[in-house]
Amino acid sequence: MSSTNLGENVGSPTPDEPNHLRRALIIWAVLSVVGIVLFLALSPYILPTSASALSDTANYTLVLLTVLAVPVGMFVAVFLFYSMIVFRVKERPTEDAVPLKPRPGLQIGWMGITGLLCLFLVIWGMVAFYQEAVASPSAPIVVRVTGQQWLWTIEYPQYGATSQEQAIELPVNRPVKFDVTSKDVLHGFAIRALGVRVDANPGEMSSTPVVIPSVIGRYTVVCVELCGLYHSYMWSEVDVVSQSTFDSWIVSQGGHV
Amino acid sequence: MIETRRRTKLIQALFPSIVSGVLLGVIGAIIAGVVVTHFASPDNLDAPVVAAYTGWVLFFFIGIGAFNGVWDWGFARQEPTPAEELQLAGKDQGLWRYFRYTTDHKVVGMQYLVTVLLFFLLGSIGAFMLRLEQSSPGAIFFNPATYNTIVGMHGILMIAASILMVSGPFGNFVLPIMIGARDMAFPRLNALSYWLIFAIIPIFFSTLALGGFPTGWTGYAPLSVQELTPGMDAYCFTLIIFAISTTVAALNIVTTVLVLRTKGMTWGRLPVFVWGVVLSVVLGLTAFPSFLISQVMVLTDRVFQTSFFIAANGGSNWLYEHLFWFMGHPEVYVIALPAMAVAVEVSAVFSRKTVFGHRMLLGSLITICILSVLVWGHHLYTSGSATSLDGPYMLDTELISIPTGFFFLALIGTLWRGKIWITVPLLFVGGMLINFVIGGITGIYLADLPTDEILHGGMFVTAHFHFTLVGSMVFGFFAGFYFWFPKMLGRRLNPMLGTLHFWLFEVGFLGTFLALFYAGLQGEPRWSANVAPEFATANLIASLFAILIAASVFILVYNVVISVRSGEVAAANEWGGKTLEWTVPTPVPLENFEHLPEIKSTPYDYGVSLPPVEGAAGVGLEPALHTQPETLHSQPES
Amino acid sequence: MKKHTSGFYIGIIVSLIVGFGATAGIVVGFQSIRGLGYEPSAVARANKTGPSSATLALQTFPDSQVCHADAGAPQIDWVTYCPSTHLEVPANSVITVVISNYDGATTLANDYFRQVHGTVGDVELVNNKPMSGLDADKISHTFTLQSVPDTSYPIFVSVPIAAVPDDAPTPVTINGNSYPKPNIISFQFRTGPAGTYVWHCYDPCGEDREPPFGFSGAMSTTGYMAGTLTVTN
Repeated sequence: MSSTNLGENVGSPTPDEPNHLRRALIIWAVLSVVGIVLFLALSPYILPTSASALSDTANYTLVLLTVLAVPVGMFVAVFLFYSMIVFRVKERPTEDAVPLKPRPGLQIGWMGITGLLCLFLVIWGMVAFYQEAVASPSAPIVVRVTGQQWLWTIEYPQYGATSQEQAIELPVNRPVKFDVTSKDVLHGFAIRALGVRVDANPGEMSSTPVVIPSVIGRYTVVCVELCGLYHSYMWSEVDVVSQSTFDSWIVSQGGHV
Repeated sequence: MIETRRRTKLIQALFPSIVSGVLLGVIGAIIAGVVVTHFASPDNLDAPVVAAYTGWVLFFFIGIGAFNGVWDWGFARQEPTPAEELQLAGKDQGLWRYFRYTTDHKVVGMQYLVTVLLFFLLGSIGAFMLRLEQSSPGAIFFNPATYNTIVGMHGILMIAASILMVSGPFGNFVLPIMIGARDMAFPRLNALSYWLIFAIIPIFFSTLALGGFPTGWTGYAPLSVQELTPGMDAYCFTLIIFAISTTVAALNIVTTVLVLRTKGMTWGRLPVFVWGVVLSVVLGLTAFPSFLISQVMVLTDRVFQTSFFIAANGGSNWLYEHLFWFMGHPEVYVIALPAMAVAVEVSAVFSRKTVFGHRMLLGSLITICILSVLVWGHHLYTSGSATSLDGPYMLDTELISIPTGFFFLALIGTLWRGKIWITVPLLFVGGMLINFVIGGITGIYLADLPTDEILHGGMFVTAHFHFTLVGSMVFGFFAGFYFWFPKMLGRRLNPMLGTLHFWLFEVGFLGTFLALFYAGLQGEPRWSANVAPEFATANLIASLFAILIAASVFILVYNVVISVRSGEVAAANEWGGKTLEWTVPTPVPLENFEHLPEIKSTPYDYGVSLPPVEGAAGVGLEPALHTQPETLHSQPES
Repeated sequence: MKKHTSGFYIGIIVSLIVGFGATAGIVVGFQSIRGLGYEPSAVARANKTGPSSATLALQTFPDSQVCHADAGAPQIDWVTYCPSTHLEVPANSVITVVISNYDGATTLANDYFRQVHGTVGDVELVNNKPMSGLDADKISHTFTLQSVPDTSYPIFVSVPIAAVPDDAPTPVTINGNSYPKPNIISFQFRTGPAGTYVWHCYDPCGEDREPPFGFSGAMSTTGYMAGTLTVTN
């Protein structure tokens, strides 16, 4: 009984009432474009430093997700504000509004669009996951990290070296992976700029994906799992340096190259 | 003569009541603590503390008369007489009925409302203290250990309050009237579910005297097992009792809706609010037992030195993480579903328009309910546990965005081309929509594996869940609060103060948490007592905006106080709503209805008498489903 | 817009004042609950011995009778650094730290802390004998000074504190309590400009009924085995 006659009629119910839907859609399109352009212009200032391909992928994914998200957010905002402003009745309304029911076309179309977006995101994420986890380079430098309340102690078992400072030194453009464990409680080993993060579990050795630092510079490791009193003081420096600087550092920390 | 009668009346009023409950509970706690101290080893501080808590709960319930019904009428010995049932329901007891083991669902609803508001007030002050500490690097006001305790207390107070906030006050007061019932299916269990929450309050705040707890609201083992201060036991015990309370309440709500719907109230004509609450409590029944067990295991690790979570003795911290998050993810949907349902109810009334896509909306709520049980692993992407399952978890987490999209479509469609009456409840629905879209989208960022690698455990996560839990769900609660306040308390809340509350809250909220999103993107970790200098500016901005949120909370308190004391008397159908609670007088009589109503259509049949129209997005043809020309969707049974 | 009385508007201001005042009161309340987060009120200041040098004297005790005599159970039995864990040293100086240890050994959980790191000369003097590391089972505590995130002048110093034997006689009396003859450990490190640092003991010497044993209690409480070091001008 309902939903008959769902043909091509997109006209308005009365001739002199503006076509609200068309207006709202135009405002939405314009604002979405403006939003995307604004975001792309501002993104270099919002996105943090990236020093590896992994972290670049993460940053790039953030940009892509936001570009896709701006029209979605704008849709809700535009239709909400349009309704609240244009359809507002000043005093308490005395009569009811027209009961609208969605056309099946709208529901199917909506499901299709959201489903496609979702599928795209899943495929994107799986591809990135595959690249980082499965197709990783061989013979990485292994850095063994032990978390203890509230310090990271760092060893390079392949070189027999132990870091004498609160610092991890890495040679640029060489693959490295971090094997992390803990002596007491859960800690979270996170290097934002390299895009790696793994929990330090007591009694277990957990590994980050293999990452290749690509930009010389100074970065940080922070602890991202609440571990007690000085959790927010638990950090180390990460210095990505040239191969020769790295070699002399290893020797100075008691190791052999 | 009159003296002894007054004295007997006083004794009858005080025993059983909250007074006798607290007295007996304290005595029970002391006895249990002393007895266990005698038998436990002297360095085991946790055993007497847990024993004292158990004694408190048991004796509190004896004192408040919870077991009287079991004794008098239990085991099918005899049925209570109607007079006894009315007495239990608080007939002719005035305000004192709120301080006794009263079974009337309206009394329980009011008790829940006051408690939820109290939790929100204390939790908000805690949040403001956190923002004060985080406004600048270094330890300014608090030692980091104190800060960690405040973080944990704020978290649990707010989580507990959000779980209860809609199902407790409105699920109890409004829901039975909405389905045309006289009370809940199990009135005495209803009182039990509330008083369990009350019993938690002293237990939870005793942590302050016992050294606090260092784990934050998630209570991760092994840190929760490590600490020697018994303050951690307060946290565990609180959650065990809380889980029992929500289980009892859930069973009550489900049975009530299954069995006590009035004639003609089919599932298709059930208000969306009832659907939301029922789905939420069913989800809670699935999820909370896991949490309860995890806390029992933490307590046995602490008191009896078992090693469920101690790696050195064969346990695993991953066990705790999985048990916790198996609850933790459905739990946010337990919070969300009722608040989303409230938003739908409020939008329909204030646009005077039927819900856009009623069946589509119900389908989306059911799908969200089912899917949310399958996604908990997305909290564990970087934990080192079961990394091969990261992909499947990402898939079904992203899938939840599809039914959530339908919810947005339904809400936007309901407002679209309605006769919009801007009231404070509708303002909160509007704020909810904006905040939910931001919160939901940032959830996608966290659900995606490559971005979670750089965001997990940082302030980005904190900002995301505040946008969803606070910006969306608590806003939904406030929409319901301003909506149903005239029915529950018979007074109007001042609309100017309500509007001020909304704008201060929304502007302050957006400022605070957008700044924290930025800090999280830059890499600031969560739970930072010390804020590193590179995040100092973002945190300072967040703290300044938090002042606005705090101001909005105090304005709400002012509004409630003056409205209860001297607000305008509200009409029985203050907003022109069509659900059954608006057909009964205010204050609602003890048994709700003179005659139980008969339902002929959904409560969203606005505009039935208008001529049909067509629009691009929808078609407005409303078949006349009932014979009455009135706009009420029910008629008395006569 | 409905007219409201002026009392109504005054009420808004009053509620804001009362609300923020209550918050301030709660802040003060939390700060004064000793069990929540204990900070010793005393400050252990280094004595300047020259324009760019200073000496800091600390002690480590097996119980808290000496410098936390007013503590109740269980804190009174906790190991502790004395006189305070709130340390202050001058900037741009060489600081000589002298630690008198009266406590017995606790096995290290992490061998890293066996070695001396970050001191001048990479050695410590144990009863005047230079050592660059100790055996893992002959260590009571460590003194490990670490930087806070993004510090401009990183300092990292870690020295193991030599333990007295468990069966040593207790001829020394302090404040009416008997202790064995202490081991004197001293080392030097350089400070830069003014700033804040934290320090902690990394030998799990706390009370704990649970494995991995020793990380809680004193080990996790400022005032006992953790504290701050302020470099001042």
